[in-house]
Amino acid sequence: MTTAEPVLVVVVVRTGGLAGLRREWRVEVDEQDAPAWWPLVEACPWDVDLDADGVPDRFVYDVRANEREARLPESRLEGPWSELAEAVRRRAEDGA
Amino acid sequence: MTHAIVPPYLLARLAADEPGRFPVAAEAARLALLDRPARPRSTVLPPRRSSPGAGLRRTVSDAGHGTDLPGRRVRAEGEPPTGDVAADEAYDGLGATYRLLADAFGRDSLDDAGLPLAASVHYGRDYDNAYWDGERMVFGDGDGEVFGRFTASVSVIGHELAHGLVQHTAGLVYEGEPGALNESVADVVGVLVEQHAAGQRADEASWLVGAGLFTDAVQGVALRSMAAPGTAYGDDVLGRDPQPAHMRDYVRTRDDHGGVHLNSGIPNKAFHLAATALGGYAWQTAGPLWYAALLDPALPSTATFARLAGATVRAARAVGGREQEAVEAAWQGLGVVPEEES
Repeated sequence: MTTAEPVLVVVVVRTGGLAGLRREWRVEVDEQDAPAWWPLVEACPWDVDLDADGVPDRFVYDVRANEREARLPESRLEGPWSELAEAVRRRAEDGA
Repeated sequence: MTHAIVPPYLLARLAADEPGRFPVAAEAARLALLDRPARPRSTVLPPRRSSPGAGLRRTVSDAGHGTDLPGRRVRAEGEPPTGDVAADEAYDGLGATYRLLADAFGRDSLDDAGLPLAASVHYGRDYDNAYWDGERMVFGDGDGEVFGRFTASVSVIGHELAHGLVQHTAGLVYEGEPGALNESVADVVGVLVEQHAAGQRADEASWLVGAGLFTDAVQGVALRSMAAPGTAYGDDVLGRDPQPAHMRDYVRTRDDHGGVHLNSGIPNKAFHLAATALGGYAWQTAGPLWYAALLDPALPSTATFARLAGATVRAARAVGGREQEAVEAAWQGLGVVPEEES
């Protein structure tokens, strides 16, 4: 991750699934990397709290970017949400 | 929502009967039931099969690591193995689950009307999950780091199909307490499928759900332990198995549809306690009691633990004093007071 003061913190929390495991991925973005991340964040329609889809064993996602947040069932994690969540996970796991 | 109509006491009694006597006794009982003034019925009794397994119709598809379902059909009923491990495990697991439902409960597939069983394997990329989408089971291959393929445990295949069983019976709402009961029933059926396929008595079984799914890198034996909820894993990355084993530890959270995979530990333990107290094969003892509860018209789709407990006690009472005592003791030991009236 970065050593400078972060200007953007994005957290993706995944719960549910057959295993019921809670997984959390977090990235702290400094000023230098921010231009690459803000478009991903801005592309998402924030401040939604969608009902869980009630499909047994599917995941539920909570996504936060600084003060913005959203809750999405797996079936709604598509388009920009999917891109953002995948980017956070990839960065958190691989530092890519 | 569809509620089946066979009275719990009868199913329990029949299912607890000796193997081989069941089909005849069940038929006679069903005929007798037709003359019995009972609750309003929304369905008619399905015809009995001429032989066990006659209604087994499986289809396995390969999603090819995409997310469009069902994917390419790779094996249908009666066709030879494909050579693809996941596809063949899914096919075998569908058969094992069908046979458990038929042998233990006299049920012809998920809807008791021979519903074809469908599964899709190789769903998504590095997909760490398996789920029931209302029509089929969907299995990921795992990420290879935490999880391997999700077809590796027959208890998981049974678990997913059991969500279909719940959908066709009690219709338990997938949120909070009824959601945790939905999960627990899925775990119960999952371990019963495994025990039935392996010919294991209650005191021989592992009572683990999803044994062998974790890779060797994970400190854990399974996803859940019905015998000892909260002990299935303890890993640096994944943390400790958070399942409670007593009502005083019920987890209140917005995550995971209200902690449905966490709080299921409580009713899971109740089933384990009842099954081990009764001894023998769980699919012949406690299993039919829980199944009878699922079919109980008085069990609401929003059932609490206490209401399911009440339905299992009612089913046990109809079978005998020993059964009633075992089931009551199981629930009370977990801080759940069975409630039979709304």
